[in-house]
This record gives sequence, C-alpha cells and structure tokens, in this order.
Amino acid sequence: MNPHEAKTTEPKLEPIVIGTFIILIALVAGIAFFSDRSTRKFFESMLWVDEIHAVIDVAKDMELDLREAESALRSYIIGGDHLKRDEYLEKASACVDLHFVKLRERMDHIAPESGSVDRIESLLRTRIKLLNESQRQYESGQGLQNEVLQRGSRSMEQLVEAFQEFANQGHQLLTSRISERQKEAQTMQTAMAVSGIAGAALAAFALLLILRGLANRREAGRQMLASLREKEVLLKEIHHRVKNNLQIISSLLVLQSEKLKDSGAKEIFAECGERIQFMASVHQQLYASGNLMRIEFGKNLSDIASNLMRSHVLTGCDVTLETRVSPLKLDIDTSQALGLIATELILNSLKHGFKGRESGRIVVELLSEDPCKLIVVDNGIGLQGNAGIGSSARMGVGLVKALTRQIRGAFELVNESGGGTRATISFPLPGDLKTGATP
Amino acid sequence: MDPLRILIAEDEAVTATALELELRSMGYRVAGIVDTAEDVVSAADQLHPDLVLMDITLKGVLDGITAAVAIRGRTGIPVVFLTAHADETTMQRAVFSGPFEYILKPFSHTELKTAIETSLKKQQTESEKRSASAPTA
Repeated sequence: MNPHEAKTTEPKLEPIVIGTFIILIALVAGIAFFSDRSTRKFFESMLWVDEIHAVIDVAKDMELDLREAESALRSYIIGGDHLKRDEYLEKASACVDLHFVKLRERMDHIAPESGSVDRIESLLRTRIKLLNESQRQYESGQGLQNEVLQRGSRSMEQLVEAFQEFANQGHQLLTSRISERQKEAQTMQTAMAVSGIAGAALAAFALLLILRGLANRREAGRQMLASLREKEVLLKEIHHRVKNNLQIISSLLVLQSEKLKDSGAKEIFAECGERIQFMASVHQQLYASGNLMRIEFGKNLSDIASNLMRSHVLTGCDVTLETRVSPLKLDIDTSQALGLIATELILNSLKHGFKGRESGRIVVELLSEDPCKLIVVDNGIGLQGNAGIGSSARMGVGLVKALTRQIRGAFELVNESGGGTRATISFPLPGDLKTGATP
Repeated sequence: MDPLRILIAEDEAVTATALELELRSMGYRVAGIVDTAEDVVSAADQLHPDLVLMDITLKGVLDGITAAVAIRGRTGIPVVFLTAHADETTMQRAVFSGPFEYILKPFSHTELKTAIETSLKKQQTESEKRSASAPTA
C-alpha cells in the first residue's frame, strides 16, 4: 500500500487542535472571571469591615459628646442652675441630631433595611425629654416626678432592649456575611482548581497533538524526499537506457550499412544515424533542463546546423553557415518535428544546392514572432537545378510536408531572386506555450 | 607505420561491434574488446594499447571511471569515455578523475574521430613535455 494513501485516512489534527485551544481560552477566561469576582468580593469585605469600624467610631463619638454634655447636668444637680440644665438638653439634642445622621449614613451601607437605629434614636430622644420633664416636675415641687421617673425607667429598659437588638442584628449580619464569604471562597477555589487542572490537561493534550502533527509532517517530508530520490534514480536509469538504446540503433545502422554495396543506400543509413543523433540531443536537453514540458529549441537548432555542417563537408566547395536564432521555448513534440525538418532542409541544401559551385552559404533563421518561422536559405543553384528537392523519391520534401502538417504549419519552398532557394516553415505556437515564448 | 591500437571496453555487444567497424574505417586496429572493468585493467596491462575506449557503465563490480584511473596510474595510456550518463555527478567524476576525453552516446562518426584524435594528440604533447624536462645523462 502506498504510504501516502495511509496518511490521508488519518483524522485531520487542525480541527482538534483549534477546538482544544478554544476550550483552553474559555477556561483561562473563566479563571480570569472568577479571579476578578474574588478580588471584588475581597475588597467589598474590606470596605464592609471599614464601615463597621466607622459605625463603632460614630457611636464612641456620640458617647463622648453625651458625657461632655452630662457635665452641665452635673453642675445643674449640684448648683441648681437652670441655665446648665438647658445647656445639657441643648447639647444632648444637638449630639443626637449630629451623630444619628452620620450613623444612619453608615448603616445605609451596611444594613439599609434595619430599623434599630431609628428606634434607638427615638428612645434616646424620649429619654432626654423625660429627663427634662422630670426635672421640671421636681422644680415645680408638685411631687409628680415619681411618675415621670417610672416612665423614664421603662424608657431605659426599652433603650437597653433596642441596643441589645441592634447588637444581635449586627452579630447575625456578621455571621451570615462570613458564611456567605466562606461559601463563595470555596466555590471559587473549586472553580479555579478545576479550570486550572482542565486547562493544564488541555494544554498538554494540545502540545501532544502539535508534536504529533510535526512528527507526521517530518515523516511525510522524509517519505516524499525518499520517493523523489527514488524517482530521480529511476529517471536517470530511463534516460541512460534510452540513450543506450539509441546508441544500439545507431550501431546497428552502422553494421548494416557495411553490408550495402550501393553508396546511395549507405548515405541514407548515415542520414538515419544523424536523425537519431538529433533525437538523442533533444532527449539530452530535456533531461539536462529538468523541465519535461519544453526545451529551448533555438540552441538545439544551432547545434543541429553546426553538426550537419561538420559531418557533410563538400569536396571542392566551401560552404559557410550563418544562424540567426531567436530564443524560443517549445514543447517536445514541436521541437522534435522542427529539428527533423531543419535536418532535411539543411541536408537538401548541402547535397543538392551547390552542385558545380566552389563556395556557398546557408542561412538558418528562427523567428519567434506569431506565427513563428523556421527559414533555411541557400545561395546555390536554386530549384530548377535541384533534382533532390523536386523529386521526392527520398524522404526529403515528403517528410518535411508531413512534419509541417503535424505541427499545423505551412511549408513554402521558392527560388531566391538572387539565386538559391528559400524554405519557410510557418507554425503557430501551441496554446499553452504562447505565454512562455521568449521574445 | 603500424596502425595505432585501441582497446574497447563496452558491455553492449552491438555497440562494441559497430565501434570496431568504425575504428577500422578510421585506420585504427582494435587490440581487443572486453566488457568488465577488471578485464579492461588486465587487458591494458597485457596488450599495451595506444588508447582505451571505455564505457562508464560496465559489467562487474567496478565502473569505467575506476578502471580508467587504474589504467592511467599503471600504464599512462589515454582513455576516452563513452557514456550515456550525462548527469552532473557522473560527468564531474569523469572529468576530475584525470585528463580524459568523453563523448556522449549516441555519438556520431565525427565525434568519435575527433575525441580519439584529441586524446592521442594530448598524450603525444605530454610525452614530449616529459622528454624535454627529463634530465639528460
């Protein structure tokens, strides 16, 4: 089984990692929420304690002020000065007014529903009023002060009860507050601990998945590299085999041509060898370029022309070659066909174009305009005296026409005005190569 | 003057036979045809050819480059590589293993002729240099 196929059946890690991280982020957000709530409750508790202290301070201040006012009362009892009695009453009333305003403000923060403060204030004011009434009765000498004193005693009992109630309420409030805070603290501790443990577990899980993903990727990369190397070796072997086979075909032609008596037939075998050479050079360029889709045909054409000139040196005729080749990248099929066409045209010029001449010139042009053109021009004897091209008994023109049709091109063979022949192959670029054409 | 003798190391029989024919047509004599690296080294020792035409891929454990280095070291006989391998690594190995000529398969008659002549010329120049620099008695 292909190892890459096995990989595709495994679940994708990305959604799992993303899901894990989303949960992890939610947990961290939860911990942050609980932490914020806990901090706020802590500060609220501190403020509450401060408020309690403030109430105690107001109560103490009120006690001190009332004690100070009592000094006037003592002066009145000792000296009988009515003004001192009035001073006491005034100070005591002012003290109650002032401190109960403060006390009520504080109590609003602690226990707004509680009515104990109002009751204590009312009883305290009643107590002061009864005290004043008792003194006035005493001063009038009518002996009615006892009845007022009895009412004062009841008022005092009620005041003690109110204070007791106030203290009990405070105690209950404190107890419930502590209990509430303990429960909250416990809940938050549990929530934070669970979130922390779950977060750590998820982080470890995510880390494990990421590491596994990285290991898988590394392994896949290693397998791909191994596969690539395997293919490179295979390609190298195929290339070697193809070239060896072409060599064997070329060698067979050499061996078979040795048995031939006819020089014309021997020449045909030699030309076949040259065509095999050209095909091998296309193959070589394809392999060397590393691009199996297209090759630089311009360079290939120059090589073909130079090789043919070297292998077909005419006796008694000095033929020169001129190449004007534009860079043009072509697919393998078009390159192969054009290479064979160029071989035929150059061979025809060499074999039939310069009969009876001492010198000559062959120009090979490749134009990358649209349509592209391959032009082979010679300044030889022209078509009238060119038996080779006119009579297509050999591959020559017939092959050129067939190959031109194959690349959907047009073939034109004309006499040059100054002598010689001009062969033009016009061909369109294959659609997918148009953008890759080098100007 | 006796024709120059060339030893062929090629494991493809058809190619070796065609080479023999081509060499004869060029005026050379074929000293022998072998198909392994081990055989070509011992044949070079025994036959003392003027040149060895060596395929890089041969039968046996060793390859043509190793055999060429051994022959060059033991006898100084010039070697021309014939190879269908044109990859960078093989060519670098062939070029850096010694002053050897090489031609790529499939090769033409002209390419074969030129490579042999260049290699023999190089060998001759080296021999002349050695003779000139050798201390005279």
